Parts: sequence; C-alpha cells; structure tokens
Amino acid sequence: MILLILAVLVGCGDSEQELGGNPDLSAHVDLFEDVSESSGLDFTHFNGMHGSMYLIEIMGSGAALFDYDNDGDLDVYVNQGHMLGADTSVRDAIFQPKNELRDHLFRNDLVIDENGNRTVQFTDVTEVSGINATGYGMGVAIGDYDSDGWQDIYVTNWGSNQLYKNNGDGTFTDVTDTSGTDTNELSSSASFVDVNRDGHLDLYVCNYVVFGYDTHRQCYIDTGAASYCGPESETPVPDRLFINNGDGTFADKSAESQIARIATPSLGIVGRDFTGDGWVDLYIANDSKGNNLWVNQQDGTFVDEAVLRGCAFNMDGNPEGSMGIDAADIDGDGDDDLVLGHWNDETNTLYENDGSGNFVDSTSQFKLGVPSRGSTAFGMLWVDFDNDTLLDLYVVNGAVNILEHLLRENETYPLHQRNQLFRNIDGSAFEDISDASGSVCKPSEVSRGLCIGDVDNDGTPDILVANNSGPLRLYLNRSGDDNHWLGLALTTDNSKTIALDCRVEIITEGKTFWRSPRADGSYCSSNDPRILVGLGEIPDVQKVIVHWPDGAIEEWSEVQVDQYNELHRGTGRDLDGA
Amino acid sequence: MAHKMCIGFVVLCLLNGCGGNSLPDGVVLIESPDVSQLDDAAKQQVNSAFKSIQKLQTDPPADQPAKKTAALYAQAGQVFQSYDVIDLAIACYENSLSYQKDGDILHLLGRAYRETDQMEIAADAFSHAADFLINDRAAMPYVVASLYWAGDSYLELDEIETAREKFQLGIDRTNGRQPIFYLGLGKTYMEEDPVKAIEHLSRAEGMIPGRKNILYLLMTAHRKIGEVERAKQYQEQFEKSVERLLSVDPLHVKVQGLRKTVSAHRMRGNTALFKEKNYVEAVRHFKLALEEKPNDAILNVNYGVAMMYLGNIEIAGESFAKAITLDRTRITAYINLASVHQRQGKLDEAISVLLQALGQNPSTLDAHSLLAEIYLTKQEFAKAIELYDHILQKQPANEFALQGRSIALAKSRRYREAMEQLEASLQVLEQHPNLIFLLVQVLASAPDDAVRDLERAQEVLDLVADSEEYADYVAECQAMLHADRGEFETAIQFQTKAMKISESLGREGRHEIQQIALDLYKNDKPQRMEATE
Repeated sequence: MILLILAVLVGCGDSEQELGGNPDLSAHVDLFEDVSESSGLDFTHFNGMHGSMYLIEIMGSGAALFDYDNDGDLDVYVNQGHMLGADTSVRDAIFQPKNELRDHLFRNDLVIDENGNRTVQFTDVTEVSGINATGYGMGVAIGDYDSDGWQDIYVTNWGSNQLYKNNGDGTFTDVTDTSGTDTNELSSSASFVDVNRDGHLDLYVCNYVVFGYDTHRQCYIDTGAASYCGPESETPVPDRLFINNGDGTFADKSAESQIARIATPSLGIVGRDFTGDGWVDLYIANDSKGNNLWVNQQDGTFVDEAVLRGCAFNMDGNPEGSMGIDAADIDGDGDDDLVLGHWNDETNTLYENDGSGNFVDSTSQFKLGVPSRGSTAFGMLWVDFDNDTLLDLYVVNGAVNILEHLLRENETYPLHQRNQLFRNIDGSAFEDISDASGSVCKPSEVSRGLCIGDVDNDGTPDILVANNSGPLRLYLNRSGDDNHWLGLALTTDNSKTIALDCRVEIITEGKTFWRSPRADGSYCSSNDPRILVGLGEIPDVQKVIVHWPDGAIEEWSEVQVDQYNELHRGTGRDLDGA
Repeated sequence: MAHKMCIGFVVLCLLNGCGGNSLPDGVVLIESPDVSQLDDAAKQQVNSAFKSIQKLQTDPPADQPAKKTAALYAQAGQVFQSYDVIDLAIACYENSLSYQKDGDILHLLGRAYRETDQMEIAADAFSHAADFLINDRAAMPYVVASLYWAGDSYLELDEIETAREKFQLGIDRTNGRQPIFYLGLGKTYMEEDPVKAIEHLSRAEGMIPGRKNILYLLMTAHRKIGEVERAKQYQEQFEKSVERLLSVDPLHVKVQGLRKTVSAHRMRGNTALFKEKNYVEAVRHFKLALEEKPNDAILNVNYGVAMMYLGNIEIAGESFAKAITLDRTRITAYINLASVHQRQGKLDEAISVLLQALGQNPSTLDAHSLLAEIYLTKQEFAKAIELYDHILQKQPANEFALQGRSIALAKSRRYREAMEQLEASLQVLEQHPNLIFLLVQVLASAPDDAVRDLERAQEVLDLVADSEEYADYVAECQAMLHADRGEFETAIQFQTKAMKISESLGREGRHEIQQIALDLYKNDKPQRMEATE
C-alpha cells in the first residue's frame, strides 16, 4: 500500500517518459519563466473602468508577436485602452494608468552570447515608430499586405480601425484612409488571409456589437450585485471582408461575398482550408450565437455551412459564448481540428474534423470538457510546449460576469481566473497540468490576448499573455531542450514576404506532421508565423512538402533539425500540384 | 479557485457509514457570510438563513432530534444556493447529510457540486440521490431528475457505460415514458454507434416532436453515417424549432424560487421575455420588480416590451414614455415608443420621438431604420433614401435597407436607379423574393423604355418560379409580363390564378390591387408605373 502511494506521489516517472519524453510534472517544475519585467516589457493594460460596468471594459485586449524590423527575432505589439465614460477623466478610473494611453511597440534586441546563452531585452520604440494608436485598442492582425517584405499592422478598436504600413526603416505610416480598410465599429479579432488565391493578403475583420455609452445597460448576478451584460442584450454588427486590390488598396466586399449577410457578435477568426479543396475557408467564433464556417465558393462568395458540418453548435445543438479559437491537426490525421474557448457555465469545445470538413464535438472524449468548466476562456492556442511531437493546449482565462466568491472577498475587479495548460497525452486525450506547470498558470488575472512564438529563438515556444487591466506577461519556455525540433520560415515568390495560408507536411521516419503557418487564431492577437514542430526523439526529417495556397506543391529534402530553415518558394522541387 | 476547494467527504461517509445521531465527524463550522455586496432583500434572506444555523454551530441543543438539525442546515443551504453562495450551500448540505441521509439533499448537493464544476462528486451525489429516492418511493419527477443528472454528469466525464446504465435505469423506472432518457441514451451512442443513437433519438423525437436538441443530434448522427439528405432535413427542422427537451428538476426549481429580490424578478422577467417568449410570466415578474423599483428605466422598458407583445400598446407606450423621463439616454425606450406611435398611426409623433433618439445617439441604426420606414410610409422618399444610405454605409448587406432604398427609389419614380439598386441588392441577397418581385415590376412596367427589359424580368422571375409560398406573386408577375407583350388573354388567366391563390393563402388583402390589374388587362392595357418627373 505504501509503495503504491509513493508511486502516485512521484508520478511514475518512467511511464511518463514513454509518452514521448514529457517532463515529469509531478515535481511541479516551472515549465516557463515570467521574464516580462527583466526583459523590459513594461506594460500594463488600462481599461478605463470607473464603475459604470461598460461591456467594452472587460473585453480587451490583444497583442502580437512579429518581426517588424526583420532582424530575425520577434518583437511585441500590444493594445491599450483609454478612459471610458462621456464625462469622466482619468482621475475617475478605478485603476490608474501605468503607461501612456496608446498602443505600444517593443523591439526585441535578443542577445546570444558565445556560450549560447540567450537574453531577451525589449526597448519601447512606440514613439520613434510613428505609430499613434490612441483609440480604444481591441486587437491586432499582422501581415505583409503590400508584399514588400515588411510586416504591416492592422489595429482594431472601438471606433475607427487603423492600418499601419511598415516603411522598412523602423517607422510606420497610417494608411487607413488610402487603403480603404476602416470600419468604425467595435471590432475584435482580424486576420490577413488570401481568400482568392491571388497572392495578396486580404483582410477579415470581426465586429462585435453596437456599443455606446447611451445604449449601455446594467445587468445583475444572482445575489443582486451589479454585473456586466452579455452580447444578447446588444445589437450585433456584421463583419467585414476587404479584398486586396494588389496596389495598396482594398475593396470592401463584405456584402457581395455574403459575409455581411448576417450580423453576429464575432470575436475570433481562423482562416484555413477546412474542406480540403485548396481554398481558404473562414471559421468565425461568435459570442452566444452559432459559429460560422464560411466555405469558400471559389468565386468571391462564401456560404456558411457550420450547422450541417457540425461546428456551429456544441453536441446538444446549443450556441456557446465563443471567444478564443484555434485550429490545428491535434489528432495527427492530416486535417485541422478546432478548439473554442467559452464562458464559465460552458465547457471549452473541441470540434474534431473528419477529414472532409465535417466536425463532431469530441470535447468529452478528449477530456477537455470538465476541467474547462468554471473558467471563461479567451485566448487559446495549440502548442507543443515540450516538443514531444504532440500539440498541447494553453488557455488564458478571465470571467466576464462578476464572480460571486471573489466579490465576497471584496475584490475590486472580481473577474480574475487562472490560466490553464492541457497536455496532450497520446493524441486522443488531454490532462490538465496547470497546477504542476509553475508560473505560466499561477497568476490569477483577467487574461484576454494570447500569442505564441519563439521569442528567444531556442526552438521552444514562448507565451505572451495580454491581461485586461493587468500586466503584459512574457513567459519563456524552460521545459528543457532534450527533444528535437524543426523550425520553418516560409516565404513567397519574392523571397521576402512571409507566407501564410499554406499547409505543410513534415515527413519523418514513422510519422508525418501537418502544420500551417499561424498568425491568426487566439483572441484579438497575432502569432509568430514561423512553424515550430516538436520532434521528440526523432533525429531527422526526411522531407518537407509545402502545399501553397494557389495549388502548387513543392518539396525540400535538405532540412536541418534543431534549427530554423528558410524555405523560399521556388527553391524546392516542384511536385504536381494541379 | 476558493469556492472549488470543498471536498465531498460526506458523500463518502454516506457510502461507508459515518454513523451516529450526535454531532458526527465531518460537520464543518459555517462562517458568517459577507453580505455587503448583496441587495437588501438578499441580505435579509441570507442573514436569516445563517442565524437559523448559528445556534446549531455555537451552542447545539442537546435534545434536538437529528432530523430537525438536518432540516435547518438543508433549508439554509437552499437559501445560500438560491443566491449562488455555493460554497456555503455545499457546507450546509454536507452538514445536513451528516445528521440524516436524504435523497433530496443529496440531489441538491449534486447540483451544487456541478455548479462548482466538481463533476465526479456531483455524478456520485446524483447517483446516490437516485438510489435513496427510489428506496424511499419518492415521487417520480424527483427520481427522474436525479437519474438524468447522474447520467448526464457521467456523460460529461466520458464514463459512457455508467451514463448508459443511469439512462437505461430511468427508462426502466418510468416504463419508457420519459423521452429525456432516450435523448441521454442516444447521446451515449453518438460516437461509437450512430445508427443506435438514431434509434433512441428517434424514439425521443416520436414522443415529443420538434425539440431542438433532439433534431440537432439526429442531424449529426445521420450526417455521420453518410445520409446527408436526411441530415439536411433535420437541419431544416432544427433551424425552425424553438423549444428544447430539458430535464425538469423540481428541487432546483424550488431552490430558485427562494430568490425573491428585485434582481431575481428582473432576471426571471428577462428570461421569460427574451428566451422563453412567455410574455404573461414576464409581465408578472416585471410588475413585482416595479413595485419595489418603480423608477427603474430598464424595468419600465422591458415591462413595456412584454406588454406590447401582449397587445396592450397603450400601457406599453406609457411605460416607454416613463422610461424616457427617467433616463433621457435610454434609446430603446425611444425606439419602442416610436413603434407604438407607428402602430397607432401617429406617424408625426413617431418621427418626433425618433429624432429625439438620434439627438441622444446619432449612431443608432435601429432608430435610422424605423425612421426611414416611417418616411417611406409618409412618401417622403428623399428623407428615407438618405437614411437608408446611412444604414448601408454601416451595414452593406442590411436586408431592410436594401429593400427600403429600392422601394423608395421606385416610388420616387427614379426607375433606373431603382433597377440598378435592385440588381446590386440581388447580388447580395440572392433569390430574395421581395426584391425579385419589385425588380420584375420595375423591368416590366417602368414608363421609360430604356429601363423596361422583359427578357431580364423573365430571367429574374424564373429564380422563384417554383415558390409555393409566393405562388400568387409569381402568377401576378407572369400576368404583368404577358400583358406587356400584348398577350392579354394569358395575362388574365395568370391574374385570375393569382387571385385564387392569394385567397387560398389568406392574403385577401391583396384582392383590391389585383382587381385593378385584372381590369387593366381586360381593357387590353399593360401595367405602367407613373411617369418619371
């Protein structure tokens, strides 16, 4: 009996190792290190709350990991709020601002010394960048819309959105008006995605509901305490689809494409080829309404097929409060599965793709349901944090309705919850390892945006969390470097523009991985578009096959593991993609 | 999280026996709840509940029967649960059960654990509750609730076999008369055997047709086995259906009924109004809330909306007007008041109210939309068009604006623009019957030869030629096209047919206008819109 108890306490380490070299988590190791402060990432979000309980104050905001200066490491963009209320000043705010009330850009000056030690150091370059985003920031999308090799920034706000063109010299120019990409609503997530396969990134913008001080109303929780209202009591606003004209301007095709036919309170987007026809489809996460799967009709129009395809509603046919979202091949069968983050009376939901773009709610089978109840999930992303070959799931949480037990403890902002890390056990089930994962799930905060990327270029994914009315947190991965990995940076024809919207087969002896460059997904955020594949004990990769968005297929056989490989379109071996 | 830390030791005690009528091990001290954040009525109820158990905690009466002590804890627990103070509710239920085993309290404990997402303990509690209730020969609705929630909780835990056992037991105990258990059983087979799932779900559907959740599962199961057409049929039914098959839980309803604060009535009123569409119930709750808070603008608005649905538009109008006096920024009150005026035919009053609303918030599209509609009725087309333009700038696919703008253009005799607008609108709203009929009308009867295009009109009409719902409109349009070609006999036949169909579809209101067209055709004249100015 005593031996059995000891085995449980130490976590039966040997069998853990057999699952692909997972670290022994029973010892409560710190898998990530919070380096926000030491790295100079000094930013605290300000939501402008002063007691009126505006819906908008609990929504934001997002962040982005992207390489704006093309120096090979990931920089950080983060949204900021401002004071809310018609006749208020910052003095009325419940929490005083700690940073200037504008979005911020931080440059990463990564240093790697002769011993291979890496130091991430950020410098606030907002002022010199020329970015003057002083709207009520909600989200950010990154993409090289003008194909000049420099990553541009689209900022979503409550109010006018902004497109910042990267000038390639460390500065940006606001080209919102000339590009025709403004939408003066309460926008949330956005994504640069090439929906018509013309090689130019189009832009999808999620809009939430009509919000104004005049239409604001008060809601209550069961105890009678005032709380925030949900989207049901507001008027939803249609999303926008801007088609890139290829000359630096966009055409608003929201109506013609059918996207604007329906108005839903949308918060999240992923663009992927879910149906396997080679054309990017758009999956939209809606808050308390059925989600949309806009299937690309290949003629500039889309049809929402989410209901029949089984990914609009959960197993019972109920709409859920979808916020965060991600898509990836989590069960290794070659198609993209979906995960959606929901509010605390619901589970997060995993929609498993059957290969033809039809989905089933497999939440319970993958053991993701029960542990996600009780938390309100926003940003969520698939990530192989330990490079053991299996995609795990990191979820950031924070309630949207007042939590009664925190209110009784006289909390001023009683919405905070802990984030969660779910480890993929064997491709068929997950376990909640939050308690054993250390700092990355330790703080109880009101987390919203989430980005994942390899900030220190060490081959392990790092995590950036944007908190509402809280600090921006950067967690560097410290899970160990025993496992092999493969990094891929894909560029298009001109060898400068980062490629999105392609599918990549990574073929090893005994296992094939399917991955896509991922900038969108999560919540209001943009991710490292490079592909990072955990290989576990697999020592090498036989070949990499890239399925480009226009149908072309190219193969590379000389890729090196444990490093990033730049794959420029046209430098591999052509396969028949027709 | 703090409220999740309670452990279901009493459930375990009940299994293993913790015995004794004296203060049993496991009874926990319940601390005074902080009620500072509760509203007055809630404070009173929660304090009163706490006082009822305080004496038990500090100075337990020596001779008090265990049954009474258990009941006091149980009552307090229910009050705490009704106000969502779940950790104290759990502690009270656990204490109650330490004194006396009780199926009802075990069931409520299960609900409380489920609310705190402790699914495994909840599932066990429901399971034991069902055993107790069956042994005690409790009324069937209580047994049904416990068995269903047990099954559902095991299903969430992916313990399929145990879930199946519970649902099957429910079927056995109720002689197969409860569709909820066939729904549950169907869900347990969705993954491994969709055919079997269909069998059980169809049984539930047969017993209580048209329930949203059953239809959705049937759609999914048929799609999984490749029966796509069948799946589409269920999808259609699912999208039309409103009600769901839910478990009726009398104990939980009782607990929720303990909440009698303004906010409770407000919430129940809102649920009845917006979710259940039970307007009588909504009015009842709003009235109770308004007795306590007569000057609450939102309550007045929602009460007015419920009244409007019930047809009491006078009272509704009074409520909206009162809400505006209480809160001049309450835009919904303006819009609803304007709707009341519109229904009463007081169009100028409606316009005045909407202009006030737009003065408060110029970006309110609902106000723009209603104002445009009223201008259209008043034949002030230029104003209507301006408003529709504004809406379309914000919502390029707004169905009502696309339609309204087209009508306004046609009625203001700007036929070419109307035709262009309609063609553009049909690019967005494909096969939209109203747009199609209006476009056919413009293309067939515009006075301007350059606009008239019978070939295109026929092409557009063919898009809805098979419509049963609009068969009279289709026939009328056919008549119009034949008349335009000089085929008046055929036109008369189609027009007569249209009139008969309208009558059979209950659209007798169209008779007068249809007769005018028929008379024209009988006089060998085609329809012509008024000439462009």
